[in-house]
Amino acid sequence: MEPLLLPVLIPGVTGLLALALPGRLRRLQQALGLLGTLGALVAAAALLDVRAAFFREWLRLGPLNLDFALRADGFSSWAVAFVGLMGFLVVLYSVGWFRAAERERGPYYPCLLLATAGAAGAVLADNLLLLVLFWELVSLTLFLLAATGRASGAPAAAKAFVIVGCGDMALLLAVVLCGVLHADAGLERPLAASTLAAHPIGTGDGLGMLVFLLFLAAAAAKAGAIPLHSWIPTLARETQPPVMAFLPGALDKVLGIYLMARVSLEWLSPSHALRFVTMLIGSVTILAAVFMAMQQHDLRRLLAFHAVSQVGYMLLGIGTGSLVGVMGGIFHMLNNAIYKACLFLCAGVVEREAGTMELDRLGGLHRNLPVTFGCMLVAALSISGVPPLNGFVSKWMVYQGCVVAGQPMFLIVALFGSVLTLASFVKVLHSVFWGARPRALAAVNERGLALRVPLLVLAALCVVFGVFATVPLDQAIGPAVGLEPPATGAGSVVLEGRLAAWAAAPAERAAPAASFAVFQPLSATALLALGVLVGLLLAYFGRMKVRTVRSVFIGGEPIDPEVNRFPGTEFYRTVGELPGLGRVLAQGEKGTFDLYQVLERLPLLRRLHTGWLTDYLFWCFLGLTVLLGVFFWT
Amino acid sequence: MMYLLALLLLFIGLYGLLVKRSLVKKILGLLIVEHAVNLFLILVGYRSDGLPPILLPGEDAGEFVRASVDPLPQALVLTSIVIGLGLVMLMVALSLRIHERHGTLDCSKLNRLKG
Amino acid sequence: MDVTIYGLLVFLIAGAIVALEVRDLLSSVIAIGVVGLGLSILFLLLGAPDIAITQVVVEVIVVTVLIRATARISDEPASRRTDRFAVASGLIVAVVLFFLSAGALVHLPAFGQPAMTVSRWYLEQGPALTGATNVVMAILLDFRAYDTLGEATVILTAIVGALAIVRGAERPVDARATDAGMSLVVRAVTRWLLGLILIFGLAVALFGHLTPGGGFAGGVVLACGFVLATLAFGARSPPASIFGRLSSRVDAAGALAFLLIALLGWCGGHFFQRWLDLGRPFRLESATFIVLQNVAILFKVTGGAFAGFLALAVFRSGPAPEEGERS
Repeated sequence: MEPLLLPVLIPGVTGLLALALPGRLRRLQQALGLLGTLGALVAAAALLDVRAAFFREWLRLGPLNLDFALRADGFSSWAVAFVGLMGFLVVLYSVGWFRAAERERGPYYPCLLLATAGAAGAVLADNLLLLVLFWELVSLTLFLLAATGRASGAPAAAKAFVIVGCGDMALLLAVVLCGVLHADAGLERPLAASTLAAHPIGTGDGLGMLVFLLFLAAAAAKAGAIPLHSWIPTLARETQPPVMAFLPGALDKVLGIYLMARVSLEWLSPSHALRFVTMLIGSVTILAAVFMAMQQHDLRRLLAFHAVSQVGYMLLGIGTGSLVGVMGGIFHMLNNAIYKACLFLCAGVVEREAGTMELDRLGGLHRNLPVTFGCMLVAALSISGVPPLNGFVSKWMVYQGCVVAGQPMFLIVALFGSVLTLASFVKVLHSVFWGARPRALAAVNERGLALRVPLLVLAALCVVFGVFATVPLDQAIGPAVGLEPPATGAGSVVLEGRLAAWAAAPAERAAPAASFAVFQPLSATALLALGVLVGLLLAYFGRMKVRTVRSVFIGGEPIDPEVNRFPGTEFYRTVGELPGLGRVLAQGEKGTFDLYQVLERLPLLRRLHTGWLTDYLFWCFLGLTVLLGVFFWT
Repeated sequence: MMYLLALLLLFIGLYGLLVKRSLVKKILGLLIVEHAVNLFLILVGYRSDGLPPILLPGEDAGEFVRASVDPLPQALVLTSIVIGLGLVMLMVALSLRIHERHGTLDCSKLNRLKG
Repeated sequence: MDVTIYGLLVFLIAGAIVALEVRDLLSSVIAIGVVGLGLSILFLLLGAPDIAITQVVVEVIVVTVLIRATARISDEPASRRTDRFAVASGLIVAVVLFFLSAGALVHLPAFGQPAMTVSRWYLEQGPALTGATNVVMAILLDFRAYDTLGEATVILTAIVGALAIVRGAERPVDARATDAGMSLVVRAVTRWLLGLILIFGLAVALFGHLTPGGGFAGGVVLACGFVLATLAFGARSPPASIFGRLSSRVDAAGALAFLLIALLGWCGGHFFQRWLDLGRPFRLESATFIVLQNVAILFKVTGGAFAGFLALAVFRSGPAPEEGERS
């Protein structure tokens, strides 16, 4: 068996098998889910060092070819390993999360498996049409999971499907345009990724620019960048946390940013203006989403806005076009998948045990949910960019990318966004884990190993990818930008700045390599650890009291702590009360900037959308008439 | 001219499909379209004064090839007709379900999807 | 000859217009039946007896199903107010499309002189290579058996879809009317006819490679016989109820058998490889491979069509009514 096929085939086949099983056999479905994703993970891990390609001719559609072609270079094999890991952890978590009261509905495990297969296939695909097919599979499973998840999930699922579907249409259009451009140039196999990489399309003319923008739209819709982000917060309320962690939290980001990286590094050579557009979208996404996140009082929605906000960093990094920025952007994609999945899964534990996601009604759970608290703390610090965690490393590289690209404005935005993220997570941590505990939550405790293991693995990965950041940077991100990974025993490429390959790249993407300074994670961690140690020693010897508990009285009567609780939702109310910004944010909450809602309310569209079968049929035939007319007269 | 008439039949069916409100009428329209397409294919394969493409005992092979009508469209249309039967059943099943659920087969009343 | 064809074409067009424009649903279903029967005569004139047989029988089943289905809902008052915009736009689209597609007709060979590039080869080699003297069958089940497999899949899917949609629906208790069957005269005639119909269907299918017919036509004929039995003797009479219970299984078994025949071809090299001898021409055993496939298709079509008919036209309402109620 071809090893390249396995990461796609194993989850795909088990997914189809599970689909054929009756829903009653829940345990069997779970077992199949675990087996399938574990198989995918192992198969993908075996690919990590493989540089291979698999090719089988499939269809020729006119000049375009749809071949079953897969390829593993360092980048795609790492991405596949990630997909497999996420799949396995999420399935494991789901086995623990669902219970009799709220059990998996619909084809839950088959969908997870098929999504894993689709994402693995899309990342490995060496043919753009094949990529579109796998990409669609992921969109479809997202819809199915959302639509069958909760009873009220249908409108949110439809919204997600429409927005992501529009992105997919843009992707298909871009792919076909790419193929036609290459076929016109007389190239054999115009849709093979290697052909595209060998002949990147210039974006000087209108057509090239259009192709880039279409790719950008597809990636933005999938990953959830403003203005195509609005399905993520809507979906967050209506799907179960594992689904959120899996698709919008991890896989969709991986796919979208993977595509964007391939597009702007290999398949096209974007001009400065287009890079600027990408960076602009990225920075707007960072700021707007993080402001929205600060105002939320539902944990799921808050996390969803952060999931949007982090996409901004990736786009910003890739948009800089400088080596360090691009690597940072791609690295941020992997890191984001780790900590964002961890955050969503932690929130899932809170929801499962405490029964609510309203920050007002939570609090003081750090003793009840110690593992969850620890993991959420690590992930929250990581998303906020606190060293030595992984989020810091990649953000740091994105910042440098902004400096190298000479865009101080974007640097400031990125820094500011990071600060606001930290502020927002201080609120989350306070409202969920610190502060006074509502009496109703006294009996809350953690149950089940299946829930905790994924959290621990993800939190550990946050630390590992932060402290040993050079490993993924050399092995996974380096190949993506054309750097060969170092031979065993040699030093890190990234650290030593051996950037000959990069300097040989086209002038437009070349950046001054001299102004390149990489964070030295190991030594910095040592310093930080030393600092913490000193602090602990001081605290210990100085007999500092970390925590003081005093009863409060008014007129000799003890006050009910329930009344006296100070929930974290009040933290940033002042931001919402600022004269200009506050109004904008209030409008944002109402959905004024939600492209989908705006279109939904458009009178013309409402009138055209009559709901009559006949009218839709009429439009179809009108389209056919126009097409025939065009063929007739040309 | 023959072809034109077959085409006309097709567009009568299409008209019914587009304009009629009753789902049963729409099914009938689709049936007419299907009939027209089958007819058209057979018309294209017809040879003037042709014989069925079935070799009879004692018939000369060369004469058979010269006199026979085109068998290929027939082979395709044969299955198409039976598929048509399956499709009608599917559509009737859907209409029955719709009638049961909404109490009507009038398309203009089935507008729950209205934006 | 041409005049007859023209006449029939005009008749079909008139019938189609009547079917669409008559207000009463029952009348329009009958009109569509007339169109279908006219069409089958036209097929016969055009040298396509295989299709003529199939068309006649399919039309009978279609009309039966449509009448049974619309009988209950035709009392619904059709909305009087015709939407002028819809009619106008539909007409415009239809007319424009008509003229656009009429432009393509110029490129077709003239009527009566088919191009027949591939078909000539089929006609020359078909009987010798496949053993089937009915070249249509030779194409359907040998040269282009892949297509047929795909088409059989479509039929299976459509029927399964129809059954799945109707299953579990709450039917109004109309079973008694069907259970009772029809009058004595009809029953007596049916008793005589049924055997003939079944034998005819079997013969059409078995001799499909020599004479007009084949598995598709024979299958629909058999299904038609069972439909007749069901309507005449009632849904609970032995022939109807026994075969009714088996029908969807027969459908699936036929489809699987067809697939199995195709798969066995792998023993000889590839999918749909012929794995039986040709035999002597003009005998039943001359193209045994095609006969086998015809039988598989016969099962498939019979089961599918009858299962669909039962589900759509015989209204079962949950549990069977008590014996005492039926008096």
